Amino acid sequence: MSERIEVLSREELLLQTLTDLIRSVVATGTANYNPVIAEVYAEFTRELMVGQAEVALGLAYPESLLRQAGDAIERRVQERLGEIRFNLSRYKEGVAKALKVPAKEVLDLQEDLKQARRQGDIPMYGPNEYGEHTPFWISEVGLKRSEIQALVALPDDRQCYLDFGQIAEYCTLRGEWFPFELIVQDSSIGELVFVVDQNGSIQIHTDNFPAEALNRVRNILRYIAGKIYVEPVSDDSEWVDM
Amino acid sequence: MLIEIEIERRCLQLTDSLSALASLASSRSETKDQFLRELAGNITDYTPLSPLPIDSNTLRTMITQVSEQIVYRPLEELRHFYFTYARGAFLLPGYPRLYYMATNKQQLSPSKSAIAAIGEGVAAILTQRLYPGTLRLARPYHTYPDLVSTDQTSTLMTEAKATVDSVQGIKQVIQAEVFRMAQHVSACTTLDVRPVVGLLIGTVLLDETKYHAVITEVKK
Repeated sequence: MSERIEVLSREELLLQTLTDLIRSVVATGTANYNPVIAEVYAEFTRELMVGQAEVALGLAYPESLLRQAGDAIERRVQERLGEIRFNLSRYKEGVAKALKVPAKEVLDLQEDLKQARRQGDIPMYGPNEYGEHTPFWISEVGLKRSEIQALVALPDDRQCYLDFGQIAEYCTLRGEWFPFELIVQDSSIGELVFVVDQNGSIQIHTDNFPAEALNRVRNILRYIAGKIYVEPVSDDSEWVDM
Repeated sequence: MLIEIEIERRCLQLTDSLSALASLASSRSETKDQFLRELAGNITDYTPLSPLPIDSNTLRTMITQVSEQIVYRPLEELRHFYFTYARGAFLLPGYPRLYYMATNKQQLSPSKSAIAAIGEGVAAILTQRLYPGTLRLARPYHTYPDLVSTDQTSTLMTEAKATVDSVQGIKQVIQAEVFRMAQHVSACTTLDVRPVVGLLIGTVLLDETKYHAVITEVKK
């Protein structure tokens, strides 16, 4: 595959989709309740709640967490809409009711996460990596004193492109759309399968990997991410959005 | 480990009459039978598509992304406690799970959560691989359907079902679900600004490395 594929962070995808849907609704002049706006709004709320809990904002009540996420969505959507006015309150109320239980759970987990971080049980994000084209992160899945279950690379920017042509000689690409599979034949470990998802994440499961193999896989992941994450260029003719 | 997914697909084009019958059945249950009778002229036969090879790591990743099932490593759960045991392999430490007091061999009951999680993972993969350009948007929280996606021009609503039974068995399950999806697609088409496509994706886990998926596309 020679085309470069645009990837958006989860938040950016939801924000763009929500904004596009609202523009379409306003353009048609319909006053109908839109079920897809409701689903995207709910997903966006969950995404922001988890994000807020991870940075430990210390909110005390589920209602506060939901209100803060809802306010953030309205503000960000309005920034994108510009002059267009759209009232999201009918969706906000429904989502707040439906997500009250997960909001409570997120708050409970936030306390546990703070405790685990104090005790050093949770691996911190690694330093920002600088690939050939654009920065990215590599994070570990699993508790620090336990097994590392997976390694995940993720672009630092909310929008970037994947260029599989950059690694065509190094590994085999399987699939014509997400989730892609990158197959690497390593001389010492054997076949490694990296899964590339729609937000640009490159993930590999590492259960039962000895430390030496884990380091080797981390370096392979760093190499792949450094090559395939590329930035958009100003000349649109060289880029194909799929 | 590579898993081969055999795929069959059929399409249902909802007419105004079928949509109305589906809506009517929410207040009159006998209308459901009428809906199923009138369905026949508007639905195609199942057509085989090219099989799709998927690595188990990919399936595992997608299960983590889209499944609401509380199950850890569902592929390993089924491999060990169902497929291996069903072939007569003896499980250490000397007894199969939940058979302490059994005096005769009974029907094996695999983990329903594991099967459902795999079904949701397969459905998410097929939604994107068979409809290139599609991006997953939302996993509705404990409600219908299982996945909402978009290809920028239309909205895709995916509902997943799975079993270890048989191809015929999953086709019956999907047939029974068509009615509910028809109701949902009719309602969403009226309300949404984009065309809505319902995808009923049923998966039979034939063994660890071979699945069979049946897809019913519902459009209005």
